[in-house]
Amino acid sequence: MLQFINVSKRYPGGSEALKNVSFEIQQGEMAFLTGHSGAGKSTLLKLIAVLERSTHGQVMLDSQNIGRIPQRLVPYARRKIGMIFQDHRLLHDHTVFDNVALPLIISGHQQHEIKRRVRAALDKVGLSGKEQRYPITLSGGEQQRIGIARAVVNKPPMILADEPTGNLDPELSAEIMQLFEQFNQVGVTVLIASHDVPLIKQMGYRMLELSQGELVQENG
Amino acid sequence: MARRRSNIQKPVLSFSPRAYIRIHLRTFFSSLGRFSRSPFNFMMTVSVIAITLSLPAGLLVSINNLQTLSGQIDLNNNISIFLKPDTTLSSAKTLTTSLQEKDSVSLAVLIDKQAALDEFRQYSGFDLAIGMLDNNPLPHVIQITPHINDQVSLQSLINELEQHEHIQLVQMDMGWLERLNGLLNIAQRAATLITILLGFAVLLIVSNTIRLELHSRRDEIDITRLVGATPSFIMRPFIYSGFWYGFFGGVLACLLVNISILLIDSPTSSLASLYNSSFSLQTMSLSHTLSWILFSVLLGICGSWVVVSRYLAKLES
Repeated sequence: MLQFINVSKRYPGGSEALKNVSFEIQQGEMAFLTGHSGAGKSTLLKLIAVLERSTHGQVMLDSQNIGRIPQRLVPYARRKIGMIFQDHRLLHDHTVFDNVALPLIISGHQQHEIKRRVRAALDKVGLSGKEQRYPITLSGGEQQRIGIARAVVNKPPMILADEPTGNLDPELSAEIMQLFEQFNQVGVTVLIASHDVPLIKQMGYRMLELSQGELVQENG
Repeated sequence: MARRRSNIQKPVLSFSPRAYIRIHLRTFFSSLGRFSRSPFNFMMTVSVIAITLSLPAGLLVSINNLQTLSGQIDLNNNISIFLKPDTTLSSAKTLTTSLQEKDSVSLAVLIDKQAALDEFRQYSGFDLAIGMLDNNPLPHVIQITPHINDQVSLQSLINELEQHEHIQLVQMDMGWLERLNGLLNIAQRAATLITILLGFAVLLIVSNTIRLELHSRRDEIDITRLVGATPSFIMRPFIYSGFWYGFFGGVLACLLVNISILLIDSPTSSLASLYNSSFSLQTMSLSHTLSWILFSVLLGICGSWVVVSRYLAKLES
């Protein structure tokens, strides 16, 4: 599903965020990406979402080198990935429904199809009945669930999450992780960047550890 | 490898015509809906556009009206020939007949001085004053309509007439009208220049408004890009905003011009009636109105397109 082959990323100005990183994540796998802040976790996720392009090496998604696709196809590549962010990245002047519907509106689905899929996604993350609320009126954990619903509403084959539990207490964090497990159980490939090592270890999935841009440990 | 390359491509769904129309309609109305949330800001921009455009539109419609007026005054290229006071009626008649026989003259009409005086007495209201005159101060006048149009032969005809022993003065009625038309042509040229300048101003107004809108919706743009929006999807609402600014600005500009015309029409008509004219001001015609609205809409679309495409190009790089 996802394969990094000798990937390096150097930012203009000389700092090398990733050094010769290689790994592979199988379809339907769930894995964690750990490391201290500044270790290169965010850069690695940005390469998958084509927010950045690698300096060397290949980033293969679904056996295609997405680091080299033309700019006009990048939006379509992003639709294959559901992205979740630490700061949720929600539209605060739109309702929960509109936030979750955004990926479907972008790809031009019909209104009744949008309604059906948004309800299903909100139901899965446990936010039924809150469609017409505004994100700001919901708790941090609920806002993160809106973000997750938005990421899965388009049924992407892969979910990327960047510190999804960063601002949450342990109990809520565990609930969010359970949600990811549920999606993984129905066949979605999941990659989660997190520095919450105790929680991850407890879950027992594969761990990729980055340190100063290098992949130092791979276990699971 | 070829198969792999076709892996990520524009999906059929987002390019089926129905989905495409659906996206457009949604954006079309949602951009209107956004204005309804901040009507004050919207109306301010629309008013600025309308006032800017109403100036050249008003100017052009005024010139049109003056042209209509000058057209109503005299359509004939007449020449008035004033005879010397001592010319007798019979020699005036002979002269008229001889003029009528000229190839360069299509019509010659004699207005004898007694008839002219009677007519003057009838229309001027100076009945009493005229009655006090000992003799008729008016000369015989022959009005001719020349059969020629070019300036040179007209001038030679006038020169020839001026040599005649009975003729005192030859006057081209069209002279002043031509000067007026010349002035109107200059005014029209100036109005076109003003239209171009102020059109450019409208372009800048829309660009700046859209630039501010882009700035305030930066997060929204980032987020929609993250979930896979194409540049054209992101551009669309802003282009529609430009469209609406142009549309409402154009409509309001035409309203302003027509209301102004109606306001000054009644004093103009009463002034014209003093000159025995039934002239009244014309409002903008339907085709004029529509072309001004179209012009304004185009300016709105161009203004927003320039800013948004530059903004997105900067984001993509």
